[in-house]
Amino acid sequence: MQPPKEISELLHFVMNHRIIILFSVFFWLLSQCNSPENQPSPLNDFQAPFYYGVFDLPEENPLTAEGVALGRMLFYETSLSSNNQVSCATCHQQEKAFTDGRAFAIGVSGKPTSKSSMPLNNLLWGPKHFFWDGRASNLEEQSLIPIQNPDEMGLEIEEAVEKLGQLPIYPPLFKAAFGTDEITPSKIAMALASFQRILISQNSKYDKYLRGETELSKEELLGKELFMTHPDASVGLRGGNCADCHSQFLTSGFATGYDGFKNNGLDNDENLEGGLAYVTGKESDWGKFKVPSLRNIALTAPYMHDGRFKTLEEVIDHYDHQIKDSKTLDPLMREASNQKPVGGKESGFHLTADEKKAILMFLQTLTDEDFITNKDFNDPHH
Amino acid sequence: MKTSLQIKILTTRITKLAIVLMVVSSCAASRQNNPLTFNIRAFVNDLPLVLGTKRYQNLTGEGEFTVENFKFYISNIKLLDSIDNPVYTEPESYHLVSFDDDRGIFPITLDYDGRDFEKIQFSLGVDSLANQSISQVGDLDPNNSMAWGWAVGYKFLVLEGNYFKEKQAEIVPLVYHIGFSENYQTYLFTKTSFGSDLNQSNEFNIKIDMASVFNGSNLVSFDSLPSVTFNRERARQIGGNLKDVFSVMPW
Repeated sequence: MQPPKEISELLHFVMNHRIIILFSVFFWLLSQCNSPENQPSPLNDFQAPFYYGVFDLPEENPLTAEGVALGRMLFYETSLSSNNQVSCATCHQQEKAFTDGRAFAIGVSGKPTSKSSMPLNNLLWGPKHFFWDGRASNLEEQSLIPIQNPDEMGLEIEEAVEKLGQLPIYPPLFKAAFGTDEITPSKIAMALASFQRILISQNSKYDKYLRGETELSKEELLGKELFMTHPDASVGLRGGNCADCHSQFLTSGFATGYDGFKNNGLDNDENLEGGLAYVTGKESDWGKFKVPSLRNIALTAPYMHDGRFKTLEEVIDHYDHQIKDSKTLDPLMREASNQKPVGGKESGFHLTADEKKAILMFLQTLTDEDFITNKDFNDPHH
Repeated sequence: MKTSLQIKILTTRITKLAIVLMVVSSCAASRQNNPLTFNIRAFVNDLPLVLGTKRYQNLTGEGEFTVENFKFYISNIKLLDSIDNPVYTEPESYHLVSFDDDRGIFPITLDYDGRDFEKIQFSLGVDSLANQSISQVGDLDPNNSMAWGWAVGYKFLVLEGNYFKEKQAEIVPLVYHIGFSENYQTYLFTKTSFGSDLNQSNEFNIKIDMASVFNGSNLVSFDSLPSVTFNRERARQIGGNLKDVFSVMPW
């Protein structure tokens, strides 16, 4: 019986043989299906790591260079807010891996909203539902919601359309992206979604390790092993249990159905917020929130949907010994422990101080300097 | 080992190319086919499986339990003639079966040309070649919840839930993650066993009984074994029961 091969070994082999999927070819071929005149140009230099896997794009919104360029302008456009001071980038700042450093996002009203700004990266993969409670089922739908939220950007969508039409720069950009200079809410949504889709983080130390370009330190490697492993005390296998919810390469939640939404033991039944249950109407989804990507996690403090943890150390301590019991607590979280007996009110992974430190070191390998300095993602208005 | 991996990777490349070509050709015309649908229906004994809220009687003792997550891989589906030669082999045949729709039904549609067949063959789990790869074929995806993460490979069957022992407030988590190549199972059903319905509707039903995962030839109780993850011996106890989990289901 052949034991499972080490993932790193296998990946190095794959990478050494230059297996890189050129998605652009695929897009080009797709674009040949219908080719009306003045077609915007497909994004030709678009590449993504093999280990992120395949993805779907909505048929009606293919990735085009012009659509992405328009989306980037709109992402940084303060005219999309009622007081002309707030853009998407106010709460999603590139240098903070598209978060804002706050526990609760603050927009035009100056009043803290009820949730922390979500990091934006690798949105082509992972959960197909957006926002902490999954209330938008694609990025087009997601894009228009913060614009209209009275506390975030506070603009009726018709007003947004009108304001953009009065700025001379926009009609030609809409024409280039969509064939006509008419501005509509759905075109704004499609352009913003396209820009968000190209925010791909793929050059962290972990990525370089996966591609065989660098080594991880002994401590980082231990952290990676713990991250990936569900502990099984019966065979002496120790684990930090992270990959039960955060996929091994993307480190995001899982894409199937609502698999990427979990109750991670933040509160007991008395204090637990509804989350996904408000979207699905199912009691069994009470207290489930979106599992975020951990890419660039060292830059996106504070943590959780309500920013309750200021540091990654606090986050690790939560999972280690502060998990709160509730009816919908994930069974994997209830069961996982490096100690016997398991379960019940003793939930928690019970790692050693060295193990917790190692996991922290691994999380820091997910920081991607190229992503937060990429000139294709920054403010195009200046 | 290296050679087989190289072939695997090459195959994947060819498959990707094939997908691209299929997209292009589908622009022109869709080809003739005669789809056959096989519905996998999940039950706990005779009750349809409902995830999350529904409480079932403990299968091997007192108390009740809920099922929060139930998923498995169905792979390598083939239609065979009377002497077991394949009439149809499904390409990229890896289906992640889940029951999120509250009806407990997962349909798999085979896009085949309608030639006559006598038997249906499929497997539970992932064959060892695909299980040692991180290529995305069918529903295999190293970033999904079935990937082990700590090593290359997939869980074949995942069952997670909560066990409520009688008169005890405590919730016992149930976690069964069954992988390992020795637990890969292949099943064969004759077309005639489905009765005449198959000829009329091109649709047939196969039942998976979750109860038989526990009360098959090996009796596995929630009390003695509430969790199976990487302990190979324990996985084998459940694995031994998997050979009898599927049955033909009349309409």
